[in-house]
Amino acid sequence: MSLRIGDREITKILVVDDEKAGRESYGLTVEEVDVETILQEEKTESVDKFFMKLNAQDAVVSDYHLRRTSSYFPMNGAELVSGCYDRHIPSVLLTRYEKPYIHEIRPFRNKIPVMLPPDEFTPDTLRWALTECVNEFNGHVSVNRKTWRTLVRIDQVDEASVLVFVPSWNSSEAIELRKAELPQELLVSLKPDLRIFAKVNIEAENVFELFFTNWEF
Amino acid sequence: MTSKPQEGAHIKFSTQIIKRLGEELNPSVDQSILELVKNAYDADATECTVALSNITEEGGTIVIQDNGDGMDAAAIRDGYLVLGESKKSFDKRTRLKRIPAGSKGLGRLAALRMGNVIELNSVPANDKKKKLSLVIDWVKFDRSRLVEDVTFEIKQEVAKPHEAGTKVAIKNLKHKISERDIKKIARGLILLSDPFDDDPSAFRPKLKSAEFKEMEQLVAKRYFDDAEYHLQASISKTGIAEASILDFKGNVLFKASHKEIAVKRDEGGRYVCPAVSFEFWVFLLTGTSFNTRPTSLGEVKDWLKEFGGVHVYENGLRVNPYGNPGNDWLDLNLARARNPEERPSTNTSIGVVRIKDSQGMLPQKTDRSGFIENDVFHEIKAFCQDALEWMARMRIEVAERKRRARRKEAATQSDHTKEGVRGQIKRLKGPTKAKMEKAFLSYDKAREEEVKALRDEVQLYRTLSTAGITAATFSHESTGNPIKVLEQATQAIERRAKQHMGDKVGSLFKPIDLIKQAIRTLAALSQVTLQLLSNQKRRAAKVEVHKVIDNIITTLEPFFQARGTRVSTSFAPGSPYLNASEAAIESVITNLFNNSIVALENAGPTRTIEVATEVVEDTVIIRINDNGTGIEGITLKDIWLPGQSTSPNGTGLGLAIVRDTVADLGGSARANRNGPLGGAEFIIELPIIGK
Repeated sequence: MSLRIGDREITKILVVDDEKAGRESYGLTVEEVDVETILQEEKTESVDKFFMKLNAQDAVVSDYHLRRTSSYFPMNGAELVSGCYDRHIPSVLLTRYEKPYIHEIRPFRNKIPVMLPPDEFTPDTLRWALTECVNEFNGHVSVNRKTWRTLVRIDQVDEASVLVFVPSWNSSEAIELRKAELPQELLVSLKPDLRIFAKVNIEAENVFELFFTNWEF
Repeated sequence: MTSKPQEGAHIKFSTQIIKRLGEELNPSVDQSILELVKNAYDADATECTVALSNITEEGGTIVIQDNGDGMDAAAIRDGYLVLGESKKSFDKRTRLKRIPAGSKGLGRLAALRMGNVIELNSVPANDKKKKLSLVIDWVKFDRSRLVEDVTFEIKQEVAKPHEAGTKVAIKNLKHKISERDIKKIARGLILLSDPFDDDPSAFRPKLKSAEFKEMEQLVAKRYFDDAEYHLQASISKTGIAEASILDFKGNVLFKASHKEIAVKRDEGGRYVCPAVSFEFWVFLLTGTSFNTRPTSLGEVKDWLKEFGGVHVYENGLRVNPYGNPGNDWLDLNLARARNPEERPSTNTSIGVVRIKDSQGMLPQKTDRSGFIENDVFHEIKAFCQDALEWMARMRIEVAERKRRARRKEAATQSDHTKEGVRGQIKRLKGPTKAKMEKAFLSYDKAREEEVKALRDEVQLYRTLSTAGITAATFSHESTGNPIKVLEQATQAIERRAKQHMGDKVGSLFKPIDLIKQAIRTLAALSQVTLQLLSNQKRRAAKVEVHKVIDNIITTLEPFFQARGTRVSTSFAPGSPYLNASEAAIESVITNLFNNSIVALENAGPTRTIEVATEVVEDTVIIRINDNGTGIEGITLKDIWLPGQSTSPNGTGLGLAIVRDTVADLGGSARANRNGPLGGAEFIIELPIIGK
């Protein structure tokens, strides 16, 4: 029982969700792609220990919400998936595209190859998502996730956030970034009409897919 | 020398005296009928029906039938027909232990004089097989000189099995009876035997008429629970008073001893009168105080209008005219005018004074226009007023306590300024000072009222916000979990069915599709709440009007779809924008959409909402039209007021929010009853900073 994705043999998929019914329902989909499905039932106190259990034959499917049920997981799904990314473990983040969470997800977005809303999570999309991950690990980044050095114009600066424009992506849509999403060093010099460079995936289809790295200051 | 003794002389009564006494003593129809009904009460009747026929013209008939103890020939001859002698004897009770309302027979005379012919039938209580009848033809009196010259015959026949009690028919009425009189008769009958006491075995006379039924239903509503305060006061047999004030739940708020009530009396002297109980209910008739109740303000107002006032019951029967419309025997309105704070008026209160007078200390006037105002009456009146005074003192104390607490909360800037102005006024001299003081006082009062209105409004918004927050929590929960689980499980069922069921899988498609559709609707509905509540939308930023409208339409799409409503837009070229919070624009548009959705609820199959924008110089004009029935049953001015709604489930706040928000944005809002699509048209104008 195994699933071949590119050069990988995946034997086991771990399902992470802070709600039992959530885990079980995702499990229904996972069990249909010929691998061992493991529902992450026990609470995780240390992330390192969690990662230590994983190996190259594993993959992870995680919901965004992991902390509503008390102390199920010490981090949210976005952080978990990006941690998997660092360890080259294919993983999928399941979340509805909800505005309130976009700011918490975006800082990790460069390490989240695929985000799926639950209603689009099927055996087929799961296979495709895992393939996308493995491709990225091997240096083949899809066009809408490829970053380019581009100009970012600061439009408005508020207490907790800034509005920016990325003309090479969309010259008329303002993007709201929380200050927490920006590097500390940048915050001091922020002012309206400041133009700075950063790496942005300018082929992103919508604002939810967009992410910023390598700010130059 | 003595003269020859003459024949003995008598005072004789001319038949004219009948006219004097009958017509001039007691002219009102309702009081006359009540006299006859009281006779039924004294006869221990449990039922008494008044029927009117052909009374819209002269010559009609009134029939009063009871099931009480009827009269034998002697009782008719020596009782019913004797005028001016009171049967009232205070140590006597009737068979049913009633204290006879009794009368000197003059009230009865007045009643009987309403017609030209009277027919009396009575089945004697001591011989129910007999029926006695008597006809009084008043015309005979007109033809005779002296009262005693007219004789009547009391006939006797066999009573039919169902016949009982006494029936009086007043025939060939001299005057017609107006609608207003009928209403007064109905009211009089209903109030006669303390309907506020809710005693099912009580004497309940009835009038056969539609007006009566309506009024009977109205009196039965008993809105006492909607009263803000309930005063219960009483004087014991020994003249000692006590009182309490209860809240609407019946909890005692304040209690007073005799000393606290009788503050005005020398050394707290006792009240010299029979035992009295006084109940009094005060209502706060404001929209805000009725917001959260099942009863409407209007209902209670109608009820109070009909039955409000302080009624007096002596030995269980009502005494006219206390508590009649316009009768303010306790001078409530005067007290209120003198000192308006925390005082009820006759329009906002209802009361019952119950007097147990077995000694005959409180005689009524012969013309039935109330008690003879002797010392006992004045004592009772003083007690009621003392109790009301005490209640007013307590209420002022509550109000004062609240005010103090509020003041303590914040010695506000405005208080300081106020003191400053007062200080300046004090320094003025001559007539200007008085004028200024008066002007400032009325300014200050107006300001207080404004502040109160604002506070009420804030409370309303808080309540709604709480509802919103709860809805949001629910939405988070449902999109997060149950919906996700439903989606996954349904998809799994579908895939597995396809895999395992072969040809039979087709039978599952429809139910699965239905579930999927329902899930999509649920998911979309919960998204609506979440999107509305997104906090970043409340910050001011560049907001493109067209984009906001498009977003709202997308968000509300499931609502529109579920209601079979098509929404179309026709936007001006370009993208007009303003510097505002997205939430503000959104609440304007969303509330107008909600309004249209409700307006289209009962509309035909093609339901349309059209949104059009137009840019004129620095203003964007947004028009929202629907093809409902338009604005009906409310004035165009009133639609913007909070709490005004023509829909039974409406909060009446949507348009108030639209108005306030648009005003905050520096724009204007207006409405047309019927726009180009036939339904309401709302036109919002907002200043823009670019297009």
